[in-house]
Order: sequence, then C-alpha cells, then structure tokens
Amino acid sequence: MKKGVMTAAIALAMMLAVGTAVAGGEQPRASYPRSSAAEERQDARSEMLQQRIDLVITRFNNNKERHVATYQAMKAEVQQLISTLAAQGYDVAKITSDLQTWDQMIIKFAQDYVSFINLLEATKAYIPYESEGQFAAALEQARAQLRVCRQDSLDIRLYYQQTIRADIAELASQKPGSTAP
Amino acid sequence: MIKCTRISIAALVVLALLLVALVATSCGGRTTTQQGAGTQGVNTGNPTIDNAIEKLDGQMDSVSSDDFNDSQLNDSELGL
Repeated sequence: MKKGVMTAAIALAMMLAVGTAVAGGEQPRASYPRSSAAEERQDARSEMLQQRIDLVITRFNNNKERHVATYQAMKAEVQQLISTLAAQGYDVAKITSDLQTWDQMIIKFAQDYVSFINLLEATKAYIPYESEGQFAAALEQARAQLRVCRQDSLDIRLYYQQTIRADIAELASQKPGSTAP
Repeated sequence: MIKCTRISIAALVVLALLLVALVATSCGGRTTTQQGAGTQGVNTGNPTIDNAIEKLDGQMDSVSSDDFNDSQLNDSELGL
C-alpha cells in the first residue's frame, strides 16, 4: 500500500515537473516583441521605398514636362517658319506633312510616359518582403516601359535631325514665288 | 645596329598607337546620335532659315534622352 502511495506521489511530482517545464517553455513568447520589431523595420523600409518611388516619379515628371515643353516650343517655331515662308511663296507641303509625323511621335512619347508612371505607381501596391516577387516583377515592367520612353525621345531627336532639319535647310534652295500660285 | 632598329620599331609602334587613339577620340563624338542636334554650322544663304535652324538646334540640345535612362530607377540603398 505504502509502495502505491509512493508511486502515486512520484508520478504526481513528475507531472508537476513536466507541467512547469512546459509552462517555462512558453516563456520565450517574449519573442513576440522581437517579431513585432522586425515587422516595424519592414514597415519602415516599405515606407522609405514608397517615398523613394514618389521621389523618382517627381523627378521623371519634371524631365517629361521639360521634354514636352521643348518639343512643343520647337513645333511652334517650325510652324511659325512655315507660315513666314509660305507667305513668301515657298512650297512648304513636305515640311508641313513631316511636321505632322513629328507631332504624332511627340504624342506617342507622352502616352508611353503616362503608362510608365502608372506602372511605377503600381509597384507601390506591393510591399517588399510580403510580396517581393510581385514588387520586383512590377518594377521590371516599369523599367521596360521606361526604355520605350527613352527610345521615343531618341526617335523624336533623330527625326528632327534627319527630316525636319533637312526639310528646313532644303527650303533655302527653292526660288520663292516660282511655285507659288 | 640591331638595337637601334628595335628602338626605332618600338618608337614607330608607340607613335602609331598614339595616332589611332587620337583618331578614335576625334571620331567618337561625331558618331553618336545622342549629343548635338546636327550643329555642324548653318549656312544656307537664307538668314531666316539659318536663324531658325540654329534656334531649333539649341532647343533640341537643351534636352537629353538620358533623362529617361533606366539606371535612374536603381537604388542600391534599397537593393533595387
């Protein structure tokens, strides 16, 4: 009988010991504050990233405004020249037509640029760490669209150099009034 | 005699390399389509046209396609 009591006491003591150990094992729940600190760091980084993207968007917008304003001023300049020379009897049909093509290129540049900014804005929806793959993919799409914008601006420059400028220079070889009605 | 010839050959090679470098440098700027809107001097004989071209060249040169270089999206601090 005494042996039974002893065995029960030992079993009870062991159960108590195991219970304490389990309770003690849960103590590292103090890791909650640690994980929340990591989350805070992630949030801060995400916020910083979004601010950087906003900054990049502002910078690109300024560049785009400068480019479009320059192209519009150039277009107005050419139109003014066309009017002046047409009044003097020059044949301005070719340059008038080429100017329209150039205008379409400028419009394309502005449209492609809007797509680029939209793609860049879209990257902000993906918080890095939680959706790093999507963020990287969205950024890559924006990067590809930016390359399209850069090519557009190169095309505009090249068309000016090779066509518009050449058209204007060619006008000088005309005999004013000889082709006028 | 042989030593003299070797020195002359070496001097000629160095001179040739220098010439190649000079030619490459002077040609490099001209082949690019990025810089310069075609400002190789304007003289059509018509002042109205010459002035217009000069003004347009200046306007085109005031902007650069590099403003849209995709390297501007890089941000090493953020691992981009």
